[in-house]
Amino acid sequence: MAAPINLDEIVRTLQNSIGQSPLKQLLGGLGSNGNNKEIQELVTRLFPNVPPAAPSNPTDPAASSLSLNGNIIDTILEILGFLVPHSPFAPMARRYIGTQVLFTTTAGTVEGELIEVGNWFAVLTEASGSRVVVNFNNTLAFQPETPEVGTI
Amino acid sequence: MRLQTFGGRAAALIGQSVQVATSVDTIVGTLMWSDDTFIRVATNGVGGYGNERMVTILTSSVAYIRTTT
Repeated sequence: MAAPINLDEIVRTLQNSIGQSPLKQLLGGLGSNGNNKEIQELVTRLFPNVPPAAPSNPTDPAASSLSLNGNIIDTILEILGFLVPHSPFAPMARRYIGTQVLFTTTAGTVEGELIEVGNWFAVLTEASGSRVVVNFNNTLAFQPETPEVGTI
Repeated sequence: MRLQTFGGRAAALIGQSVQVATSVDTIVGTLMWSDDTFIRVATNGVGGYGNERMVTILTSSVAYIRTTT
């Protein structure tokens, strides 16, 4: 089994790679569109000593490099699944990777071992050995075959 | 990011024999293209007489893709 992702270590690497000043500006920019509040809170918790900066000046020549750094960070966070919108089934299904699950879709039910979950899809291996990629956009229900402990 | 989308993940199956299931029909053939807009499947000819056809399916309408090899 793969080692869990150490987010703290990744963010520290980011900090080292882009420098302190751009990170401060980034912290100031996060949350400005109302969609990144959770990211801002997360990074603020991780870096309590880095105060939020004032919004950057669009006429500032450094803005383009800041934007570049922001894109790099966005891409990394995107890979980690923070910024990309995701199906409500995604976080639910991730808890059952490696177990038998059943998805009810608009084209019928699909059942098998859950081996991969993306933000908008899940991959199953059926009993026959066939691999199935399920589209969460057309998923109606998700049912793990092993009930959670404590659930009725 | 495409890797996190259904269409992007399905692109990893290009070249494989697949069943593409929608709520109306299931298309069987070889997956030729997949992105977040369309999925294209080269279907086998009817009755073994050739007539291979390219079917273009709206990605958002696909419920699942099953590999058949």
